[in-house]
Amino acid sequence: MAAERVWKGLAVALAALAAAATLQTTLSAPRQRDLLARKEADLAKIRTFAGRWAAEDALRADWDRRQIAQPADLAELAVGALGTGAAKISPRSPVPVAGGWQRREAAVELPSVAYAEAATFLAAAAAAEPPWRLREIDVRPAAEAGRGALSLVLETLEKKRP
Amino acid sequence: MAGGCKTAYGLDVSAGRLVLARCGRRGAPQVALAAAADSDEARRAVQAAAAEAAKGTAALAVAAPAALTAVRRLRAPFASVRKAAKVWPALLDVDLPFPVESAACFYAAPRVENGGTVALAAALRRSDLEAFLETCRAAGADPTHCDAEALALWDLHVAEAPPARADGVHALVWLGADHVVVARGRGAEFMAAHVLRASPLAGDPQAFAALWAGRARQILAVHLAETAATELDLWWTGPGAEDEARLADLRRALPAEIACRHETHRQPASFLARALARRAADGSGVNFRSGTDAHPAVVRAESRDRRRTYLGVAAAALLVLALNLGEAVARRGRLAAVQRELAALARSVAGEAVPRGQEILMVERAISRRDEETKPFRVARDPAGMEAQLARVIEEAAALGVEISQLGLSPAAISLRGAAPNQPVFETFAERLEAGGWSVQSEASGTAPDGRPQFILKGMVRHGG
Repeated sequence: MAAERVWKGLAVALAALAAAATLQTTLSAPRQRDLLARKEADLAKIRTFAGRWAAEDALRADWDRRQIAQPADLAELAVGALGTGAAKISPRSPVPVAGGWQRREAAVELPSVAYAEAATFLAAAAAAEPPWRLREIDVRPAAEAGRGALSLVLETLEKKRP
Repeated sequence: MAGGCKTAYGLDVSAGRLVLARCGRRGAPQVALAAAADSDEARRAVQAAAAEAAKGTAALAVAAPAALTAVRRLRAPFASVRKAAKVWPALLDVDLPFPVESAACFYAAPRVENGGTVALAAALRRSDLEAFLETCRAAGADPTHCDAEALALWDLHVAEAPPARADGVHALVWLGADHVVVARGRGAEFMAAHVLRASPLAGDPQAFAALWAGRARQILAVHLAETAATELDLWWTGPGAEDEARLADLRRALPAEIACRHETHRQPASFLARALARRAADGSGVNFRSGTDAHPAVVRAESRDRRRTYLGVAAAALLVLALNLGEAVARRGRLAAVQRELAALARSVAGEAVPRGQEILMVERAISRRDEETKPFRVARDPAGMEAQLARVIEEAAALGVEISQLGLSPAAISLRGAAPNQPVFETFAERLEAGGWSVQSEASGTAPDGRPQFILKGMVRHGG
């Protein structure tokens, strides 16, 4: 009799536990689903950012592979395009950017230059690797047509020296 | 009525004759032995059946003395089985020749009909039951089941001779060695039973004949009146029904005005034993040996069944618990896998470990930072860049004849001073700058010496989307 009562008690207790567990599982299912859905939505959103900088990373990797680490000498480019003494170049301090590189600006003053020559100079600077790209320009035409004073800011990239 | 047994024996001992029938859960009951009650084979057969019953592997059913057993049809005046169950003892008590508290009672499954609840009830004085069981034990058979004879007979009668019509009126006459039972009913429904404490097989045949003539007339007349019938089927069975001549005498003794169609059951001598075996096998019979009077083997078997049930419930509960645990583990696993991937991806974008739950926030911050850090590379890759913007502004000015006296251009802003041939041209120039992605504001600043309107134009880059 006592043994039967123990068995009965055990069966009832286990049944109650099973019922409670099932209830808990059922009631918590929507919350769990929502949590999982939120996590998966976050994951999907972050995945969309993957490859966001792939092109920039590829460019950097290409330069590393070809051992392109330093930009062309801007002064030499200016002499080649504008002649000696036509440009006054003032380099600025570099700023670190991604991947062990840094951005360097240079202010270029062209007190009196033909626009066509200036365009040649800018084209040569942009064609270098890494390129010097125009960041700011201020043009004050001279009385003579096709000429003026140009104040330029060019920027380029260079690998940080260890 | 509890569940049946795999094997059940029905035992009928009277006038020195023993009939032992055997029945399985399925199939018809068969005669296992019909022999003299004091023969060795009878003793061995009974011992074997009793041994099986003691082990709990079979049931051994006997019929309580019919003359001491009251069978009644109870009717409660309300159509509620639960309510009726509370009043059955009171209703039965009214109809019993002894107090219901002193009786072992059995109530069959009730049913609701015609606005009331009806049930068959059988009752036997406890002292009579005990005395009878003692007799059985002394004979070497401790029965597990003690059935109501009239109900057992009626049950097998309906099973072996199903009424042709659902409302067919019929009766069964069981000719025992020392008593006669007349059970009557309509269709399959039992209505009443009558016991004649005499038999054509014993005592004075003429005395019986007189008793039979009177009682049979009374019983059958009442039956026809209660059923509003004009004729009935009368079935004969029992040890006394083996003798055709006797049957013929008994039939002739019936009142002529009562129209009967007579039939005889097959194997009439073993009818009661087979009836008892069948009911014990399928669990449909009355069993006065229940509750505190239950056979120890039955108690053990029931206890075993209950334990099996509890084990089954416990096993099912454990299975459910395991399934729930499995589900919880699976959920946690899924969540952990997604969280791991999320953390890894967030770390790869942010460049550092990200606190749980802040992945999007940290990634968005990291994106802003990294966009800034990689901007120079985008500038480096841009095939157009500010050079192209500069060229566009100068081309537009030249195309419209706008003279530029000062031009400033930076990634976010443009400023222009100049003179246009006329106001419409200047406005066209401003529109073209707008079309080029600038949001411009302009103001006139007088006229040039040559009379052309001068302007100051300032603009900001318009960020799309």
